[in-house]
Order: sequence, then structure tokens, then C-alpha cells
Amino acid sequence: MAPSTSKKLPLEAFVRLLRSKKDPNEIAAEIMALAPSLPESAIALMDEALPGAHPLVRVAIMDAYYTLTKCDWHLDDLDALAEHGAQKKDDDLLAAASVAAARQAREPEDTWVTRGVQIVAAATKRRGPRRRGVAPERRDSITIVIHGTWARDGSWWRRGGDFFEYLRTDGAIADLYDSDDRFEWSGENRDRSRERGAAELSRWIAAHRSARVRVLAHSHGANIASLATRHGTEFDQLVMMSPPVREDYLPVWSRVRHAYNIQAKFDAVVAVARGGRWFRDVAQNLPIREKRLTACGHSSSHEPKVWREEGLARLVKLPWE
Amino acid sequence: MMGNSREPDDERPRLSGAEPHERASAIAALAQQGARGAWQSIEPYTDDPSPLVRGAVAFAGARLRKGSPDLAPLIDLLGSRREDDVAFAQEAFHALGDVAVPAIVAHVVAQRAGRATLLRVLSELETKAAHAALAAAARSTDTDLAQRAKALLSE
Repeated sequence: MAPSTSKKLPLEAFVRLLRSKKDPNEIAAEIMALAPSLPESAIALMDEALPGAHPLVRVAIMDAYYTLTKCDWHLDDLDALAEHGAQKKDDDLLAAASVAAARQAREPEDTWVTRGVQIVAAATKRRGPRRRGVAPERRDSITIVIHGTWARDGSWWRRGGDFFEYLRTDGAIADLYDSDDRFEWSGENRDRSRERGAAELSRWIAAHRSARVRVLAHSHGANIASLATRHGTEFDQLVMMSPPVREDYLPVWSRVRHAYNIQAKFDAVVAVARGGRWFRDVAQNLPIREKRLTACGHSSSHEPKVWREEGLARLVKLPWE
Repeated sequence: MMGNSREPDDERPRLSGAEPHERASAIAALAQQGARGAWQSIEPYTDDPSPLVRGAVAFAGARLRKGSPDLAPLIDLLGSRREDDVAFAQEAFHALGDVAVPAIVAHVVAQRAGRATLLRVLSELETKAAHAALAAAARSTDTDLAQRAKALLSE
């Protein structure tokens, strides 16, 4: 996917920095300055550059990676680099790695700025085993379930929840993502919250490296997924369950291989929300299969009983390869 | 890839439908259309056995009738254990916008029950009137109300 014009320049600058022969201090500082404006496509470049980079530059890349993804996979590596800096009496490396690690561990970042003693304290005070500081291998596929408005605290969409476990067992979805760092969004009923959720989803997907991404999303969770396609995210399967269909939330259809819209027979929630029920009312010949259930109610589309009785697994062609 | 594959055309929900979601959908549709005389058709459902339908009637009343709306049935729905009831109520409040603000303010000032949820609704309305109401709540002498409102304003 071609990066947008606004994101292209930072990416080019980042590539130049990674190839630069400048002083590592300068390179690291420039990467840190560039980090907030980098696109998701920089993640692959970071993975390639990390192994051979100067330690200070590695710290900067790991910090930029965290800025981009909010994933703390490099925390152990940063701790190790801080310790290395302490042993070698390299204050720059010790300080930079300590600050980056503190940020990822959500500890105060200013512990390092006062004196050297406190820098060491910040680097060594964390105890206990952490997850390995390595990013996961690229997967063939991943399936995620996304909740709707005000449903973040609900259980149906997460590990142990009825719909989630139905997908795992009856649906035979082997790649259902069930780790603790699952994707979730605020669930707030605001346009800007949904836009933020879409950007977060794109970053989460980029960070979780998968060749194919499948999504089952309920209500406005489906609109989060649709909006994520505008950030370049591509879906192999996009199963939308009771979405309020809105023109301003339409996906980039070329980035969705198979799309489904499942609506209840009657749904008072979508009836009162802004938006309609059918994509065919928005435009003809869209690449989507639309299904009207015999069951009523907004939540019926994520109920295992309804999926079983109305053959929805067959509709969406489960199990997916 | 197929073009939008069609199901049989959507049935129009009927006020006399057996399912609460059908009756509530019919009421919501009439309220959204704002047709003259719609309230006369809706009013008999004020005492419907389904709280969802009563909530839809409250929504329609706020849309179609003049004067202060009685939004108590919608406020009750927000406290329901049923996912659909809560989802309907919060979307209905969202659709009503500023019309709902006085009723929400009156409730959160008078009662602690349901206060957190209603303040959340208020903060998500994102209108000037809702923001002003939240700011006023943050200055309340009721410390619980003030603290909750301040927390939402700082988000």
C-alpha cells in the first residue's frame, strides 16, 4: 500500500537515518524526534535495522517502536542495554535506555535526569521476569473479535466469553487471538473515539504482523474496522454484526477481500442510532454479502444460539483456511 | 467477489408486532420521521409490558411533543442488565442531544443511582449545552457529583 503523502516524508527521512553514517548520538536523537510522525510501515524497517544497529540507535528504534505500537516487547532488551551502559560506564546509553524502559514500564521518566546514581537506580530497580523482549514471528493469519459501543466491559467478545468460545470450538477458528494484549477500544459513543479506535486498531494489527487478518465486529466495532481500512489496514474477512451503516464510515472496499453484514430481523438500537441497516441502501454492487436474521435484537448477531440456528458459520464459510 | 447479495426486502416494523424490538423499531422510525399525528399512534404503548418499548415511547415523546420530555423510562433502561436495553437508551439519548440535557441534569442532581452512567451519556453528547451542564455539575456542592463531573471533563 502506498503511504499517504503526509506520512511519506517522515518514512523517507527514517530510511535515510537508518543508512546514515552520522554519529549514533545524532541518529538516535533524530529518530526520537521523528517517531511521532512515522507511519505503521516503518515497523518492518525497524525490525530489519535493529539487529545490526549501534546500541544507542537500537534504543531510539525501540522507543520509536513503542511510540508507534504501544507494545512493550523491547522492555527486556532496553533493560539489558541500560545494564550494558552501566557496566561500560556509557552514560548516554544508560540514560537513553533507562528512560525508554521507564516509559514502556509506565514508570516516571525523569528518574534519570538528576544524577548518575539515580540513573543506575532507574535501570536496576525493576525486578522479576518480564516477557521476552522480542516481537512475535509473522503469522499466516489472525482472527480478532471487536466489541461495540459501551461493550468493552462485556464478556462475550473476549476469551472465556460465549461468542468467543463458540468461534473457537464450533467455528473451529484456530487463529483466534486470545492473549491479554487483545485489541479493545474505548467504546465511547463519539465519532472521534471511533476514529481513534480505528487508528489504534491499525497500529495493533501492524504490530501483530499477520499475512491475513480476519475480523468479527459488532455494532460500531464494525465501523472501527471499516475506518481502519482508511489507515491502510487490509482484511481477509470482515464480518460485521449489526453495524449502524453510515456513509461516513464506509470501508475502502479494495482492502476487504470478503465482507458480510449480518442484521437482526428487527433491531431497535440501529433503528434509533444514526445510520441505516443495509449497505445496499447506500450503494449498489458493493462487494458485500448481506444477511437478515430471523432473530430480533441488536445483540442477537453475536449470540452462539443464533449462529447455530441460522447457519451463520456456513454463511461466512467457517472454518477459514 | 459478489456484488451486494440481496436478502428479501426489509419488512417494515409494525407497532402491533409481537417482538419488543419490532414495536420499538416502529416507534423509533415514526419518531425519526416526525410525521404529524404520529404521537397518537405511539401513545397507547406508554404502558407496554416491555421496558424497551416504553423507552422508545419516551424517545418518541421527546421528539414529537412540546414541553419537558419524560425520559424516566430511558433512564431506567440505562440501569438494565440487558445489553440491548442499555444500548438502545444510550443511542436514544445521543439522538436526542440537547433535548435530553435538562432531564439528565435533574436526575444526576437528585439521585446517586445511575449517576455515573448518565454523566457518561452527558459527556458523550459533546454539545455546548451538555458541556455547560457538566461544568456546572463539577462546581456542585455535592462532592460525589462534582468529582465525577470533573473526571469526565478532564478526559
